[in-house]
Amino acid sequence: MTLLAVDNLSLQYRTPAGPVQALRGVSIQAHAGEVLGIMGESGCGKSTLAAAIINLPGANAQVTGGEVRYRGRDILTLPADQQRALRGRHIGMIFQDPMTAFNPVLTIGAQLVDFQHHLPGSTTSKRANAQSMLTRVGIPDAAMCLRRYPHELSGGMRQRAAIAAALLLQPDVLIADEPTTALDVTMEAQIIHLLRALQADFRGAIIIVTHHLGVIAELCDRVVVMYAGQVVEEGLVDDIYHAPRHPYTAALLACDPAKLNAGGGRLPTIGGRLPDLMHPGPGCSFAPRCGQVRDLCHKTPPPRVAVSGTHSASCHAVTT
Amino acid sequence: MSLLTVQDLGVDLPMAGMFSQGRLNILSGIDLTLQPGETLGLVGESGSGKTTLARAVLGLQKISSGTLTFCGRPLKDNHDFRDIRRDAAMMFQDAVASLSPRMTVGQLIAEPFVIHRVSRPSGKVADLLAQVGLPPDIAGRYPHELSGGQARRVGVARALALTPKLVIADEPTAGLDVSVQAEILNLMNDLKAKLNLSYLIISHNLALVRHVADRIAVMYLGRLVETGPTTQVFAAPRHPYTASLLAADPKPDPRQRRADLAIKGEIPSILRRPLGCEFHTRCPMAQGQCLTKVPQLTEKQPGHWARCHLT
Repeated sequence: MTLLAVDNLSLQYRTPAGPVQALRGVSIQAHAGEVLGIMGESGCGKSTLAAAIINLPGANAQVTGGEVRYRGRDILTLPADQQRALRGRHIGMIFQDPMTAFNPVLTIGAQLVDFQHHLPGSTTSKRANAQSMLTRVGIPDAAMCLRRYPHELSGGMRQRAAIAAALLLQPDVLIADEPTTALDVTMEAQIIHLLRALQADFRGAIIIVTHHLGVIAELCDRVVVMYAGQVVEEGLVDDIYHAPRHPYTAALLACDPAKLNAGGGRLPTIGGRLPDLMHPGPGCSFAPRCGQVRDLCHKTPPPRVAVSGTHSASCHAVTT
Repeated sequence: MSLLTVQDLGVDLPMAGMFSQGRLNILSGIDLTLQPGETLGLVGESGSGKTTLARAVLGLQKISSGTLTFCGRPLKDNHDFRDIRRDAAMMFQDAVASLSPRMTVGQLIAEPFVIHRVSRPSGKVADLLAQVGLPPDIAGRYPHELSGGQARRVGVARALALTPKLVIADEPTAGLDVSVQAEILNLMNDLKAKLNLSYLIISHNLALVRHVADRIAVMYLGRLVETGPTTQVFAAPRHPYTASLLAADPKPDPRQRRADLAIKGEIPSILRRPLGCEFHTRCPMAQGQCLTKVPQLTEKQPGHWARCHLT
């Protein structure tokens, strides 16, 4: 079942120099029970997309078209109070920096109780809820953790507490924006395992937004690849990593030194730079950096070509 | 003759508090050598003392014990360290924050000449910019006008300004996208061959270290736990910590997902250093002697050292 559908969403940021088109006709779907990865480099619009899904994209942002539908209802046109009722309760969010996700002057326990203000029940039962959720995410002494302030926890523990906070209200859709970027590799592995274990008994959809190719490969069932505010390729994780069809996806995967089996030598690079999103050209936005570029690519936007039932790429060079 | 020799290095810091007499042991017993033209990769989790070690080598952190030798010359007082900072340059972790926001790129690149009172050949700034692949007109820009990759390149140009023998790079690609990371690594690789540089690269990115380093040194809680040729350490790690670090690194291949966790828990606080082998609290192989007896760094294979009772 499709829980969340983003349909042809366009968003621009107003800047003194003119509007920047951060999202240009993005469509994605997240289904119940799946982990969807949104992959891309800085400036591709992945974090803007995550913020737009909960309709908190920042004061200078303006949605210029499209819809975000949660269970069929367009979130963007709902009154503010109904939107607020959805956030947290139905669509949860885990932010990149677990330090700033919490209020520094309140204990973890006080904040986890506050987060449940939508729910009925006494403070004591909410505190008990919070404690069992902290235990669930692998915090060893949960009762102690409730009494601590955010700065007293290590980065890994804070990220676990942030995950507990997001899961407390049992949302259907959980969005994690770069959930492991601030962590060491050993802690990153533990958080990945935690998210995977939680996914087994969490029936909703998890959306992971990251630039880390390893995290997506470990965790996701399906991947959406973004470039310059557009979706360029979408498919099952194995197809994306082993049979990428869009030249950008292939180039991005090739750059990662983790992909190579031996050290030394030159790494492949993409060359060129991201297009200016203030004045995007008429054709394919990857054309200036693409190795397979043709005349057509500079003039006409590429069609979305379905390679299989689950795999599609927006490229003139792709044929079914 | 080796370029840099670190022998039995220790760093203690005074504990916080005005009347506190205690000292906190950050690094101890570090032995490292770096040959000319060699790249040494220093890896470990946050808090393992990697950056402190790099700062100690440059005299930015006072050492409490041990000796440092650079090109055969022992480093003792501030005067020695000032000299070595001409031959050993540092690329700092946060590339943008390490550039003064009030200076232009041209001024920033010329600054090492001013600091070390070395006369600057005319056109040197433009040469350095060309060497790191930046257009000459960038010299008039301020740091906030640079992208992350450009700021890194300015950091490389500054490090190379006085034609050093050694470049210490602290997380040279942290915060960069993989495609930009590849460009910076290629640039550093080209410059190494061209200028016969040695690198000391500090990183927690194991794939990066495997790609660039000839030898690797693994640190845990301020101790060296394993050191050896990169290929050998990656193929057959001799310390369980190295093995678990390698296993924890997510591979960009969904067919290589890990079934279970190699390492649990967190790095302990240095305020409460475990007794015996410091890794025993997280080690999957820990036995009786590991809890009481401190293992010594021993040579397990020629050039491949590890600090473990069991391997």
